[in-house]
Amino acid sequence: MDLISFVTIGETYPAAKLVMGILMLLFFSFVLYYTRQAKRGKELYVRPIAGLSAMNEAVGRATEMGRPVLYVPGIADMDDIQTIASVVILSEVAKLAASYDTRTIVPTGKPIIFPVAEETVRNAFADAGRPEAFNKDDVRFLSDDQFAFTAGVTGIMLREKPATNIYMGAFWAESLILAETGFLAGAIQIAGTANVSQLPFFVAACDYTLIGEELYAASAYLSREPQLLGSLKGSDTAKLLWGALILIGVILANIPALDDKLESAFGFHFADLFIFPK
Amino acid sequence: MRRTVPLVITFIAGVAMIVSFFVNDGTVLSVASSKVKEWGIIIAGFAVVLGTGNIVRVTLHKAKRGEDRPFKIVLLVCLFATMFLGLFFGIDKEIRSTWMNFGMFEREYNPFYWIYFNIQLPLGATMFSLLVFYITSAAYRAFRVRSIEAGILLTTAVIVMLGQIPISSAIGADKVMAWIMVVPNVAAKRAIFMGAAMGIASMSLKIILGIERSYLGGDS
Repeated sequence: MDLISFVTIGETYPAAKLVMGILMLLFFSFVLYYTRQAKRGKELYVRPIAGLSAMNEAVGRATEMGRPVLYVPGIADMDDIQTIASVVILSEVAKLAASYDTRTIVPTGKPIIFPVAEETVRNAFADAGRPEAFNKDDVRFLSDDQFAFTAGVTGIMLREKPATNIYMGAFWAESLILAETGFLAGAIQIAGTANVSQLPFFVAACDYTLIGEELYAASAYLSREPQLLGSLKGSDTAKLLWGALILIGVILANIPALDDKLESAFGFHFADLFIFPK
Repeated sequence: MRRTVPLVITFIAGVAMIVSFFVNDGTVLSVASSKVKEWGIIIAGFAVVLGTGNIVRVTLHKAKRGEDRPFKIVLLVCLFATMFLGLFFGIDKEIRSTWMNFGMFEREYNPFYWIYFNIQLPLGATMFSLLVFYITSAAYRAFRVRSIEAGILLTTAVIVMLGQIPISSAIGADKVMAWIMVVPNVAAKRAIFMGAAMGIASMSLKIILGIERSYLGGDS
């Protein structure tokens, strides 16, 4: 089947790129619209997310027990959006821990994340009004080898006995080794990843798990900043639109006569609009 | 200024990356975007020095205090020995001149690679193999039937496991397993993928527009 395409400024592009561009602009408009609404003071409802609601309790538990909080930002590099989301959550968690006078240990698996995490935790302690409580030995680079990093983190769990383990970001085969060691060490554990293949491991071994998009919603949820909440509302609205498009696709796929009518009227099938060149 | 400059750079780079997706390969923008990605690799190279410095500082600090001193010494010796061998013998897989072969390296491996193949890889494989025990203990807890959901999970898991064994076709478990894997499993996975994709797009937009700026640190 030939891909339907369009020509502009002398170049030929697949139509799917145009459709994607339009959908992206729509999505951006939703986000910007709701962000503006939130700025003007409109109340926005965000459904409770158990894993994030438990964050306060988990850090509080570490404080009561006089033990540190362990925050693992995943093993992907800084160019992975999950790591960026994780650093944003780290800022909130470290601020919370600093306000309770609790240590936050952050082992990093990529050298470029190390200075970012160090700066984030340092600033979080300063924001919480306790810059002197920041211990630069608590943010550590361990190794960029997957299992050397895992061995290092499990060693910290067993030696320093953190009361709370938080795993946020991109994880692969090491997810269950980390989560089970944390479970055996008796820590309360909160995990969050968008790596679908690792979710079952976290669900089985952790007390709370943020699934997929909840990881990206965490910073808005924890900070409660109206602008960030507005962007959440915007992406939820876009999701409704995507759902409607999927429903149309399902209907047309199951009623070929209707799809053929559309094809004879416009010259292409509905599904052709979303096919990318290989 | 401390925050404005990074925000401006983020905005320009973010918009350029988005636009580069919509233009054809070979155009100035697509070439520029691949160049920017190369810069990231170079910056990461410099960050290795920072990371190594941190390892040495933290380890020395702990060794001085007497915390796990023998392990800290092993770490530092291994770190510097590997670094020295890498600097001295280079990064070619096989050593170039025979005098460098002390008779202990199979296939005339560079000692740097000898360490990699004979120490680091087996240690990594050992850590990975621990996974099988952890899967068993985690599966035991997950499959304990304490609710209707856990019961459904257990039933589904048993069917999928039965579908993998040789007699599965005789008892019809292979067909049920195939249906479970292709229909409900893929549907749930796609829902998570779509949600995550929306989350990524939303997060990226927030960062590009400077709405999300906590990764730059606080206002203090």
